[in-house]
Amino acid sequence: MHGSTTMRGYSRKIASNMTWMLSLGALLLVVIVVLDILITVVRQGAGGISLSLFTTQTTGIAGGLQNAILGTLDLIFFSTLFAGPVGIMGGIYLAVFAPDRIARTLRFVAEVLAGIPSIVIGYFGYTMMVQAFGWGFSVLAGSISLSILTLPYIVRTTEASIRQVPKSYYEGALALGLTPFSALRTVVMRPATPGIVTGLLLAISIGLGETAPLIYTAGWSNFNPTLHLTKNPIGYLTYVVWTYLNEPYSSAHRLAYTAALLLIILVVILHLLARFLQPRVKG
Amino acid sequence: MGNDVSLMSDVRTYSVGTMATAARSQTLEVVRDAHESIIHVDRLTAFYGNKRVLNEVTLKIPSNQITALIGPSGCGKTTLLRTLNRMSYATPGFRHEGTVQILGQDVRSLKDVETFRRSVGMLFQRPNPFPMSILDNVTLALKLFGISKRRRNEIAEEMLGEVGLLHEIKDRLHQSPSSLSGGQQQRLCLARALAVEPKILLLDEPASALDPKSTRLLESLFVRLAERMTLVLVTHNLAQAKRVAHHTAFMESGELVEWGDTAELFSAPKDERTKVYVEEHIG
Repeated sequence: MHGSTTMRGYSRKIASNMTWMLSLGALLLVVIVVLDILITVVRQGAGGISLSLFTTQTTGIAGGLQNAILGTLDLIFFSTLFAGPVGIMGGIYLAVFAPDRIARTLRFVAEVLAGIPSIVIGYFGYTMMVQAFGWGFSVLAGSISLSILTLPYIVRTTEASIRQVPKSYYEGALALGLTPFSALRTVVMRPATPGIVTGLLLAISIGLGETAPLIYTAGWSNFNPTLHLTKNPIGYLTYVVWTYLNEPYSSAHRLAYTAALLLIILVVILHLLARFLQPRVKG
Repeated sequence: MGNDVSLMSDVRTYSVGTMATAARSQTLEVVRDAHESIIHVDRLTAFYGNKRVLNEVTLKIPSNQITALIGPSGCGKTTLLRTLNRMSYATPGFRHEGTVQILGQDVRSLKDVETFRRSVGMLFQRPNPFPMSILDNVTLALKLFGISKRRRNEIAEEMLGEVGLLHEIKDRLHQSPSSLSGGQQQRLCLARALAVEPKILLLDEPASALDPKSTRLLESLFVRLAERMTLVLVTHNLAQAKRVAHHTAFMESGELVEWGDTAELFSAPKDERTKVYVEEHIG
């Protein structure tokens, strides 16, 4: 209040200014890096966007990306199908039903799972699903690996969204004689849904950008995905980015940058959707 | 919980803990008139984890009257109230000894908690209208209990009329309750609780977030409701207890210190602790 005239006041002011400048510097650093990535990818990749990109399959190091685009969508579809329900129900359990100790343990397990390097999940998928189960490189092995990766994320956002709903809604419904299930369905899930869907979309966007868990499980294919869940390798966009940049050919490079651009566009769309659905804070 | 307590519990009196020897002789004939008691709490001791929040509380609550529970914050009155409809069971770590009998049923061993809760309604400290229209708030439970739409709307109209809301918000029935004032929201919650025809109404400081005018309005509703149901009112507001309650119980550190006719308890408290509290808190 009157501190500006004292020594403490001065040192506080200096500290405040320094913090402000450091924060600004950090922010600029982030913005510059993001801009650099975006500009590079757009400059190198935008030229590759054409109708044939979406209509033709990859041939060697050239051609289109139809197989990778469809493959990515295929993998995302199945991984969401697996991780979505399990993650959402896990989140509900943690938020509402789990006794303290079990909740703490499960949360810890989810954190550990979230911290496992994705390549390890990929290798686990390889030894278990590709080899032991004999599924080979396949949609099933790939999407299950992806869902292991996104699962903790979905659990966490679901739990958080439900915890944001005032507990008094749930208790009020119970007090009327509703079963816990009815109470959840009618007064808790409704306000929590936008948050849960947002989390799901962000989880999808995380899965979208993953390469490591897929290398060992989905393999790669120059052809469009088939209807077979196993034994059929499948293409995906991140593979193109990962592999083709190492090839000494400019056509491969262009394809890699175009794939990266497509991925960024998809992620941006998902984030915009998520933002649009974000529950508004009650004012 | 030494020998003192078990010794006292042999005598059929309310428990006064380890200190008040003087009070031991006061056997209270709890039911002073024709109102039969509808809630029997017998030596209720409750814990959250290792913390004891209620200590050997014995209390009979007469039907069709208002009984107020007063006492300093943390004295256990809300826990006692929330144990009456098993709401406290939902808090992790809660457990209790002793029995609570309501409407002839042992609360602990209820087979059908939902049906039980329909007959024991609850009003919370903060108005908690559900995130749905005003009308849906009142009809939600009825709908889930399979009552026809026509009948539901009739009941809703009747209950909203009963709490004096109908003429105030007749044209807003399909709007969100967030446009209502705090007092109106609390009356909406009351209408919602009444819609399932409870025999007992538990009130957890229902007016603590309301202005004086809304408070008085709510109190007058309680008095009217006492003609056909039993009300248990937890309140910090001693003047409120004085205004509406037939009986008042004073609690301190988890113990029921004294309880009896409201006028008597305030004018001639028998226990020194009651006396001190009442003198400090009444203007």
